[in-house]
Amino acid sequence: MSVLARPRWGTAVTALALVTLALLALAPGGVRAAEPAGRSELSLSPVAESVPVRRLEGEAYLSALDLARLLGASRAWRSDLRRLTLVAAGHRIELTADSPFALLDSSLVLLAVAPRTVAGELLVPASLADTLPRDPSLARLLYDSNRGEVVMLPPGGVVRAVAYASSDVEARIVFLADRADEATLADRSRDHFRLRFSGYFAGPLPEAAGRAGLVRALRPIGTASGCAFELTLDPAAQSFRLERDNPSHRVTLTIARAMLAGFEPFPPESRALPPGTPMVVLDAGHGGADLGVSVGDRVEKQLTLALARLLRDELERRGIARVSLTRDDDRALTPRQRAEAANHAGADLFLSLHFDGFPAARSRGATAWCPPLAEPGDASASEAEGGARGSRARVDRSGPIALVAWRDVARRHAARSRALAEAVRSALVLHDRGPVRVREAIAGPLMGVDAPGIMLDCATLTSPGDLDRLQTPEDLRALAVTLAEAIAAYRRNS
Amino acid sequence: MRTRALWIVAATIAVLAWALAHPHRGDEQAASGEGGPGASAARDTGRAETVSLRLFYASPGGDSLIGETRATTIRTGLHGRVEGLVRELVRGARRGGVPLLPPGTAVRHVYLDHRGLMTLDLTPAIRDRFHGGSTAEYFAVASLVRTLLVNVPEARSVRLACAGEPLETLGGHFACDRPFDLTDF
Repeated sequence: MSVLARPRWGTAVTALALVTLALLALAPGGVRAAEPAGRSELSLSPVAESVPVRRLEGEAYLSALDLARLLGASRAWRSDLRRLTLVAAGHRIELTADSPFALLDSSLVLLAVAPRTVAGELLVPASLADTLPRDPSLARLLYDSNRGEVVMLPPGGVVRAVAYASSDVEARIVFLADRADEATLADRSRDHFRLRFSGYFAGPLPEAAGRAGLVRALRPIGTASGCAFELTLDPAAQSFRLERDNPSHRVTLTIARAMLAGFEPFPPESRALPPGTPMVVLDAGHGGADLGVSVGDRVEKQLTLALARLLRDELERRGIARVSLTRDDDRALTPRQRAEAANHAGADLFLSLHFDGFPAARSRGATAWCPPLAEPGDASASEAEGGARGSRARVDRSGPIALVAWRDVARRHAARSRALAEAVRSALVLHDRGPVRVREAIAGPLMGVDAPGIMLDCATLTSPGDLDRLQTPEDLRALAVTLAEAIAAYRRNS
Repeated sequence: MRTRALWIVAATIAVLAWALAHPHRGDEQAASGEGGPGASAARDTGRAETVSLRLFYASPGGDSLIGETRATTIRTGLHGRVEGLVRELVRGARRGGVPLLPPGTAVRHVYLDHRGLMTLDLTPAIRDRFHGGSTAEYFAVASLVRTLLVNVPEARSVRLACAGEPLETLGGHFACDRPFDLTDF
């Protein structure tokens, strides 16, 4: 009897425990499975991938298995109908062997050639990739006939160089880009004039490019994401203009033999800098609809852009650094885009330029915001408080490797950032642009920047004294010279 | 055997009854706006009382926070106290401090959980009417957080929200999407 009773008693206790656990789990705020952080971000950031096509009787084919993998689709094969059904992101694609008709959602599409089976494997025409539905949740594919591959496109879409025209006065290259507004100039020296896009380049380049006129060479170059082109320009080229027309997806680069209205000059005494020259990324604060601080006709977003351009010219003219700008026109960028631009450029130094504004006129001078040092024990503190910390980093030192949240990565460079801030303070005070405060906080533009850097409020626009020193282009140029001296001093001392 | 089985059934019923009667203590406290364990804030009753508040404003030079003690009448309870603090911060300083919270900023909701994390939901004015540079932005958040944590001792940290959504930033210079505590300022 006792032998039989034991298992029953144990079963009852187990059942009781399970019921209790189930109730606690169902109760509001009860035990819940932890959701993996950043899952949605991962799904929205497809990794660029490509699959080579197979050539059969002059036609390009793609394995249906590869197609399903690129789309992240589920597959169902009906051998009686010889039909493959792919389902991805709510879209349904039906392909039938030896039938040139495919069903895409509710539309019947005539394919260039019929899918066929080879050695038990279904092959579909590669051109099918170009006819798939355009949906942000569905991976976008492109058949690149030049490379003989089907490519999963990055979020920046496709870039094509469509035209090159040259005359005695100017040379013009036209690109078609899905994200025309994301075209940026990464380098503007005549020897290494670089234009960068966020999309995939589906060649070829116009044949005439690089054979005549002001453009001596045009070639695609490697980049961490998207695509980039390097131009070698004739020394006679005096100015350039980059036009981005988002509605028509056109990006037009014009190189002129003279300094024309609306064009930008090349950096003075532009020359190739020696290898190892550090990369300084300048971030012109605000932009687009975000004006920043406005006092009279002085608008922060305009001042920061003008100052960034002048400082770039000064740094390159002196050979202090190669320079990249996070924005070179009037547009808004998120902190994440600014950080990505800095990290992609391989920044050795990051300087986010701002101007301050304060309701009381007594506030004046400059402020350098630099990331604070990580404090030992932050991990335990943040865990105990449920992450209740402000600008301080989540530094987990419980294991052999210290983990830092990516947005706080700037803290890894806190000491050198502080050194940069002190160099800037010294230079500004030396030129009577003080007082200069150095404060520790991870400012928005520094979040995610993996380089020493500061956010600098160069002056306080609401201070009449400071505003007087920002009235003319020469005033801004003088400020740029001071900042270039600060960066040079930082380099000497680091 | 039958007696033992009856005991099991009775115990199960007791556990079920307990679980249904106490869904989750923390949620209940948060929903009611009550303080956590040891909280001194009472449930809102609509009664008014005159209390001494310690308010923090930016210094005129934008270098630091300066404190000011003020006696004022507020409603009792956590919501009333926080509402009064925000109102006085917006109203401005009497001893030279610079108020930085924009006019129209007011409390929509306030919650205090059992860990001392205060979630403060403010009207859109704090975001939409804020104009200033990074110094003004930094001290606007600093004055609000320090004032709240000094006057509501049950709270250990403050998370800011605006119109029911997490407040990502006030003016674009600093992220506000994490809770702040006194060591941040």
